[in-house]
Amino acid sequence: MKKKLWTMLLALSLVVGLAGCKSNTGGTSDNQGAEVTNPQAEVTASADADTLIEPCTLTFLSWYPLEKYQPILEAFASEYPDIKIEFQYAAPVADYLEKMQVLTSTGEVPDLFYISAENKTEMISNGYCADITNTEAVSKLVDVNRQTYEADGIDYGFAPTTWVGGYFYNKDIFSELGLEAPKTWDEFLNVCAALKENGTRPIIERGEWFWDSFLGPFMNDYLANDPNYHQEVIDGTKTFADGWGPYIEKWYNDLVVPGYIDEDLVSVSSQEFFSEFATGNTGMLAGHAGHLLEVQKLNPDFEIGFFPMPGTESDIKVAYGAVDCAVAISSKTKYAKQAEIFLNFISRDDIIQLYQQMNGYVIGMKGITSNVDPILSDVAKMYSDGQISVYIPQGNWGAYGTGLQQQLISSSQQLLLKEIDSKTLIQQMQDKLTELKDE
Amino acid sequence: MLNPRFFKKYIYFIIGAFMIYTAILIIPIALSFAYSFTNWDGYSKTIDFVGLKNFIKIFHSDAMLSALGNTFVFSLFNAIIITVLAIPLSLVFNAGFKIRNFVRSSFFFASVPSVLIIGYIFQLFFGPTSNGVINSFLGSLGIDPVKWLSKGFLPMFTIILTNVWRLTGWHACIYLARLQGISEEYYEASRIDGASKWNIFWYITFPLLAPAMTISMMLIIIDGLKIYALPYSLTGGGPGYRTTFMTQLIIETGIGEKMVGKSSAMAVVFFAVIMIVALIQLHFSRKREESIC
Repeated sequence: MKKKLWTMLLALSLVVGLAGCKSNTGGTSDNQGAEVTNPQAEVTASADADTLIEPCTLTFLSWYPLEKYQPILEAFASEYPDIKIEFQYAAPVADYLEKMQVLTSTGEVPDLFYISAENKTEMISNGYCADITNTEAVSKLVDVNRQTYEADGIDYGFAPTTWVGGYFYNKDIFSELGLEAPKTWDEFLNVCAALKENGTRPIIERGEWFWDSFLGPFMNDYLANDPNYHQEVIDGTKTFADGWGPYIEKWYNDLVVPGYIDEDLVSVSSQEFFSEFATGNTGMLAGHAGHLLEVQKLNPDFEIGFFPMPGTESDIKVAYGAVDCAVAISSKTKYAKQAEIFLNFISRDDIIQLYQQMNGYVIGMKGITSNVDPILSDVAKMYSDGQISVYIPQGNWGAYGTGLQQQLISSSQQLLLKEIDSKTLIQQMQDKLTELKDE
Repeated sequence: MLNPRFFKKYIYFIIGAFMIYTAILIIPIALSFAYSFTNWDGYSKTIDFVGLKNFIKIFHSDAMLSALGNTFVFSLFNAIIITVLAIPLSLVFNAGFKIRNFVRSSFFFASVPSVLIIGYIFQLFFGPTSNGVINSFLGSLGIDPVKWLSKGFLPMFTIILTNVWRLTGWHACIYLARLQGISEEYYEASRIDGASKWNIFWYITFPLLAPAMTISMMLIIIDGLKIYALPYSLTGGGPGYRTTFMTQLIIETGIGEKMVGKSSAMAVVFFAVIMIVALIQLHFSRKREESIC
């Protein structure tokens, strides 16, 4: 009998011990994500917030790794020692989305987290994000950055930076061949021809992104005159054939057929993407500030220039880029005041410079100068002055962004390998949208 | 047949393990089955029942049919090639030579690192540009770069090759364990009867490896059917859907496209297919073992 009792107790302790392994996720509670019929929990600034802070631990799921966030966290800890940050990281994009989806479905949304173009619609419409419209942080944003994470007049995300991209080019090769940074699409094609004749690969891009070389003419010739195009496609008043059709065809005929973009690009890895450019095998690299950093690490002496993706005319109205992901506060956090303090802390003039050093992007806040690489200073100023906007397809497709992007990757690879034609690519995109909307 | 006395004595320990097994395996499978009849997006708290709509959709999906085909092609070739290589390798492992342990460790080591790391390393090996390791070597011999990860059947070939490299040593160790259990008397008797080396292998060693082959084949097939990290890191599933496997498609549909209902339906169909394959494989393997005994 005694033996049986001890056996039962031992077995029970094993089971109870495992059941107690639920992690502490800070202030979140169950019943997350109730369908929204009432306004979100509002986070409001309080004049006395700083003096009446309840000590707590805020859970924070970050899009950026700890080593990059460390300076900000250390600065915050020294000013607000009673507010601890429990930092978690999930690598963008797929891993982060997966983690966020799991946390929302289990009711364990962190107090602070990032929302991005890929999941902002779901996070906002299902009530996971608090209303941060009246926070000091959001009031400092330029309109484009604020509006990207706004829905029905309410702000849900603080996105202080924007990446602005285009083509980085090898100045040495350009100088050898007597080339200049092209300002129009025709000049761009001439540069590609000259590079190819020289035995240099004209453009390098990764297997999942080489389609971005069609964006120059599309953004500046079409989208600049119809900025609501994507919403019209989603609503069904326009189709992919209306806007994208001619420009995919143009891209295929102008870049793919002459071999300026060849089949190799289908399987180019991230490492080859940087090394091909840094070792002088390629004339131009399509990318942004983060890519520039990687190339400079591989070859610090490399002379690099930059030009935005050109349209058929010489004036740039829209650049390849996007407002970066945004910090959001959980609608169910028990520590709204403390979370807002952290948000406002990031938006401080001195701290936002540390934030900008994490990604090298342009700061989208009023009156703040971005400390970007000198190579990108011209285009950064154009964006900060409101002369240009930014565009990336998946940032404009709302809830269907990731699904359509996956289709675009698959279809563009088939097009590059000449397994389908450009009309089939357009049809596949349209069919995919129909399938996604049907859900 | 379970000994009732044994069962009564240790039931409390079994209950604990069973509860954990139920929580982390049975319940998620049951939930997945339930979600397959819904339109859940993974975020919403409201879920609508849609009947068999998801199941009908997936059988009209090119991506699903490609992924199923790729998964089976990979599993089949994977199983055949690894088995054909692992058995002779196990004979080498079993031979008596000085650096035998080093050789065993070297081949086994390939199965130790993370599959994702192996995929990214081999991506550098098979890179299409002149910076790719293999193409760089070919270039030094005056041979044009080969599009290992994009042209024709080469992407699938590359994935199979990498996986064979990764697992052959490990499976050779499974066969080695069985080899070491074969009685030396069989070999002595056959040598006395004047059997050749090939006859010894074909009529004694190979049949007696049957139990090891059952386990090895089952493990290889399971590994092949649920593979994800290797093709994802090598080719990303491309070009197009040419190297997209079922697991990747299920994840991308559920997470990326936010169609958890549809991805659950894919998972249910895949689960049924794997069960049928596993039962057929077990049936034939057991039959072979029994015929040998």
